Amino acid sequence: MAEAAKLRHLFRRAGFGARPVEIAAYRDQDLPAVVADLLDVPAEPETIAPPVLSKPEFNPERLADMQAIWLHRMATTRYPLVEKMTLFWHGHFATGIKKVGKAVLMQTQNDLLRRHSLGSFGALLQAMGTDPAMLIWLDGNGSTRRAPNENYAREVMELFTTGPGPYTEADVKAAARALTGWRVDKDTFDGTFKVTFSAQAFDPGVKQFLGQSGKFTAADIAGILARRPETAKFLAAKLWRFFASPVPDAATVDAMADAYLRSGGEIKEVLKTLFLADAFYSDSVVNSQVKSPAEFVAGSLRLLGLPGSREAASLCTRMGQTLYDPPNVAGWQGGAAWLGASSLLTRWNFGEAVRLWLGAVPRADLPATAASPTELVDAWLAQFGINPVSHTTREALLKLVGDRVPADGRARWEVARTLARTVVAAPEYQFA
Amino acid sequence: MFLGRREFLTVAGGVLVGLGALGGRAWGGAVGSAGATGSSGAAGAAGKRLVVIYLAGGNDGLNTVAPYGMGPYYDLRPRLAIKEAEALPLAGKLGLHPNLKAMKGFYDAGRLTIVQGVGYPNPDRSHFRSYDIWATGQTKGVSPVGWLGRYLDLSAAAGAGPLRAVAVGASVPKPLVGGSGAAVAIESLNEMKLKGTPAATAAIREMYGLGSGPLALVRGRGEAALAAADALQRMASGYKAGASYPKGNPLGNSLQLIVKLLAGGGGTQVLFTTFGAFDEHAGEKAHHDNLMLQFDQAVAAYQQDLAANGLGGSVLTLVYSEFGRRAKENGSGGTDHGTAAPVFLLGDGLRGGLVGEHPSLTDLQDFDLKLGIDFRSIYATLLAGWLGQEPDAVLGQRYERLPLLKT
Repeated sequence: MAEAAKLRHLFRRAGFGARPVEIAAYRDQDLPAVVADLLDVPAEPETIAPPVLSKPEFNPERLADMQAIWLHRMATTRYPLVEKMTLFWHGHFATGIKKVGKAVLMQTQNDLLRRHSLGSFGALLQAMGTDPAMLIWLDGNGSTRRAPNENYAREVMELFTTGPGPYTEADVKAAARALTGWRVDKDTFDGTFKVTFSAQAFDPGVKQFLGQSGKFTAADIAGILARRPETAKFLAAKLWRFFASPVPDAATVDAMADAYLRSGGEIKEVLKTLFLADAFYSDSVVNSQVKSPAEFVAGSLRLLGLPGSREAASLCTRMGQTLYDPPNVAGWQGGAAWLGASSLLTRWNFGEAVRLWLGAVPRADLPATAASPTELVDAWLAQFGINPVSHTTREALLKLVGDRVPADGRARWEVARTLARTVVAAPEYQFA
Repeated sequence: MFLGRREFLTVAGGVLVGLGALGGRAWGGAVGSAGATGSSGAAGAAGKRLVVIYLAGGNDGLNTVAPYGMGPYYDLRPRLAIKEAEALPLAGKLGLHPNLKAMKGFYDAGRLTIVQGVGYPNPDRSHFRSYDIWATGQTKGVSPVGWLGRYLDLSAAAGAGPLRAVAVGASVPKPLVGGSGAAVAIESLNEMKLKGTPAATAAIREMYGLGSGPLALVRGRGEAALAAADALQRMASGYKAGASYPKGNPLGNSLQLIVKLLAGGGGTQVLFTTFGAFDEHAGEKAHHDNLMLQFDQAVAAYQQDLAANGLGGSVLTLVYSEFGRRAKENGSGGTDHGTAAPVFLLGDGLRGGLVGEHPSLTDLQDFDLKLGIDFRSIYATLLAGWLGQEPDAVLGQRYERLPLLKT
């Protein structure tokens, strides 16, 4: 049987946190069963109705609306690991709307990341090579044999697969030749924009690439890179950093890389190895990771049963994470870099938005019936999954509630939502 | 309460441990009136300030300072080269990009110094590695500390307020990262105020009081954020808008924030901001023209604003990118990653003009321009001559000083 503390940790990292009732529902299952359940996701992504966005109504070409919809997905999905991995891949294949220009192409890429989120990395990498947003983002669009563009050729190795090391500048130039011939046809729109291949623009010649020789195409390059042991290691280490800790655990990362190679690049197998590893539940990992703004915002919405909204999206941006607009092709740095002064103040001020969203009418599904200040404070700490809590934080919250909880239901709810507002600002809650 | 007296110590991994209550003077003491330059003891050489503008993504040096007098320029860049008639002439058959009109004015007035062919030996064409090298000044191994972070650490003893080093943005960039965590990141002044009922805000302040263990990192950052927010609230409204900034120009917004901080008298000495997406592998012409225009208009307003706020003499501005671009244009109407490129320095304290030689367009190395001046010579010169800091300890070794500053 899995302990509650392990489950809280697992659901925070593999998803966006779980309410006490959700944790309780898994009480009788052992850890492998819970992990199997997390990894059991449908082949076709879940359909989720977008949140009601009023005044003005929803517009798929508006960035804030797309962000609100994604946050809403994270907050309400039955398969949180799918959204967590989609977020991981967005940071990995970091593509930005400013250069791509068309919001619908960002949505197309987001759908692609979601569909492949737990599947074969080779398939995802190959699809990404001809994804229209990526073609525009890293200039594969319109690259011809006459003077091949090196942008994607370099980043696909440095950032997406092997990491620096195994390749030379000559490999960059060879890959650039193999990647020629693709173009985004911006004249034909049928829900998205088509990508076309021109045999005239493609360089069909022999290329020497990473010690191999052949008339390589874009698909060949993706295949070669996905099979490299450096790629297994690079992805394993990055997944460890994303889900566990900035400090690598060599044995677990090696086991994850082995799972990758053994399964032919199945991400699900890599994650299974990670979530079942003892190291993932060690003291140095649990409660040690700074939540990203998306995790912080979507997690709060999820724990409080609130929908995604434009305001939530805007707050996420002001905390330093603009979904669909990463700072550069390397994605978000993460960790302590999230804790800039104005970003942190925005996290604290997010509490005021939470208080307003909770409304003046008491919510039966949230803690508001506790009789004593201690009970009320502890119930809210549990609601947000904060355990353990520091003495300083608990004392400050008790002082906020005062000597007693009001008897009147409405007045008590006022205290409860002020408490909720303040708990999201707690130092403990900035960590996952 | 605990506010106003804090000190941080680093432990392994850069985790900050708040020690607090070490008896340093309250930051409130650093508040001064408009244009006061000597308000902070931290401002190394008599209130001198440094503003750094980083052009992200690798700005095309050959289309920023165009070598129109060199024949090969037009062979290498049949589509992209700037025409002689359009370039804004400098000395020696070199010309600025036609959209850098204000820069041309600064150059003519002797307030703009252009250092040519700047880079480092064995150039790395990865954005991230090259950014890191420029950020730390270290070409071997990865240093966790940036060059300005190291400077802030070494000169911190003079006492410094919470706003001494400010990065405009969501997080502190590598150049400002130091062991003492002296720099704060401010994306917008609007966010720098804690909202909520007095009881709720008091609870938040209390929660970010002294702490140890795993929460020390966020508590340290929280204390720094509160100290910065409080210092901003206390800051004299010394700033008066002395220029009209271009609308919808992100660099203009950042630079105005910077002048507000400098004019507020909060002891701000080192500032950093990032501009653009200069990674122009395709369709460079229109995109780069626009970035040059935005840059020029933003910096023109900023310089006017500094002067209007009495800060013209005390602020030096450094503009750099992680590398220049390939000498030969590619088939997508863009340029791939390159090496050496010009660096701009702007301010009244400079000698002005061109420093160094323009790199040859025929004597290339791996299709790229050869290094002329090591960027660390610029750092060393600014540290020694502007910030009053012995540079060898910051950079780890001795670099040549350049004739950049007025004596």
